[in-house]
Amino acid sequence: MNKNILNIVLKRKELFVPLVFTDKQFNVLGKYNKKEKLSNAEKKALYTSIKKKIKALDSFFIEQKDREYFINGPAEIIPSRLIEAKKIIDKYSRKYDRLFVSGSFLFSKEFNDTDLFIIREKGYKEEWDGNTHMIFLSEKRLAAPVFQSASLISVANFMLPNKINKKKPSLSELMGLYHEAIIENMKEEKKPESIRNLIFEHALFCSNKLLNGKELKEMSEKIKLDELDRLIKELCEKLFSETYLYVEVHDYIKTLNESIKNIKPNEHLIRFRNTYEEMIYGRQRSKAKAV
Amino acid sequence: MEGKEAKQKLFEIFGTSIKFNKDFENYASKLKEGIANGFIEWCRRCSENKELGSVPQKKEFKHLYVFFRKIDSDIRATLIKEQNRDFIEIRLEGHKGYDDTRLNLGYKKSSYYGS
Repeated sequence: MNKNILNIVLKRKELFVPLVFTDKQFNVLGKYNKKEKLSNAEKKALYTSIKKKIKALDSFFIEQKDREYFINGPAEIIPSRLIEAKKIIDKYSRKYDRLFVSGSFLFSKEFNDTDLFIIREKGYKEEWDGNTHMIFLSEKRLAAPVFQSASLISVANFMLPNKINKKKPSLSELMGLYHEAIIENMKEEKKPESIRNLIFEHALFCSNKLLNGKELKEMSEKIKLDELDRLIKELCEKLFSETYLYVEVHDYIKTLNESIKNIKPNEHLIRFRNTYEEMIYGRQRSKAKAV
Repeated sequence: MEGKEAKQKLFEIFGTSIKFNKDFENYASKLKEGIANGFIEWCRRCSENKELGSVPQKKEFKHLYVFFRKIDSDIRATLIKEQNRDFIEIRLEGHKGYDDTRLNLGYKKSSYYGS
């Protein structure tokens, strides 16, 4: 049941009772909204009559809503794609309440699919409808940086909330991310997810900047190995204490030294070791020089 | 490709001691022919030391060498070997299972969107 319609009805009883709903039906709506337990008779009324009336009212709301779009980052959107995006919003608005189109479809000549984000009460899932990649997520999850970033260039049928939930990653997570980013770069991966994530986290935590999809795409296409090394060093120095870094990374360097003997090809492992040595011993050396 | 057929090909590459996750056959059977062949080829390249993996940062797993790969839009693979020894496990999973595997090994969750 569309919550917006429900709230409008509940707030304006005098408009809807008795013309559309009976007093009893209105009370059932109130109980349903407060998630109170309904009797069998009330449940029957809800499903056989009340929901159908709400659905009919909803159709007016959809017609109205179809003409309203909230466009974020309009300068970055290719005009023909904006028209397409509005059509997608119109099509899916009939079924879903709050949604937005985002991703490279809006700003890049080449794209694989169209990302359609659909806000729902809880849970996350992805589905495909032809070439439309449907991402169902809760409003809470929308606050995650990756989705806030997606919303920066988007076409929506509602005002997207501008609140970000920044969660500090663990050292282990960041190191894993760096390793995968280096591997992606060495393999010239076409869709380098980890490179994008590393650039994204660096901008978020070191510059307090939320990068949009276009910036991320351009930066991840150009970035070199040395720059990835720099990003992880700066991120770790920003997020963790010197002592903690020393203890954790020092141990991992020992592991890497062993692994370098065991594994071929190992140029990526050698690179990790060098970066980590520079991260912890470089700091000490520069301190010693200063003393 | 049938799940059993994929398993058979992987036994030929890694030997019969390789382990599979519970849902392996289910996910393998969802792969289209070309994608399934790409997955098998990637496994072969890993076994021939032509792919790059990483060493988990968690101490209890420092003897392992792990390869991750996106196989299809919603299917991911994790291939685990013991350094200087055999490949021990291969997993084909959806996002949720893949995240659990990554977190267990000490890696970051995948971001889903954009992946």
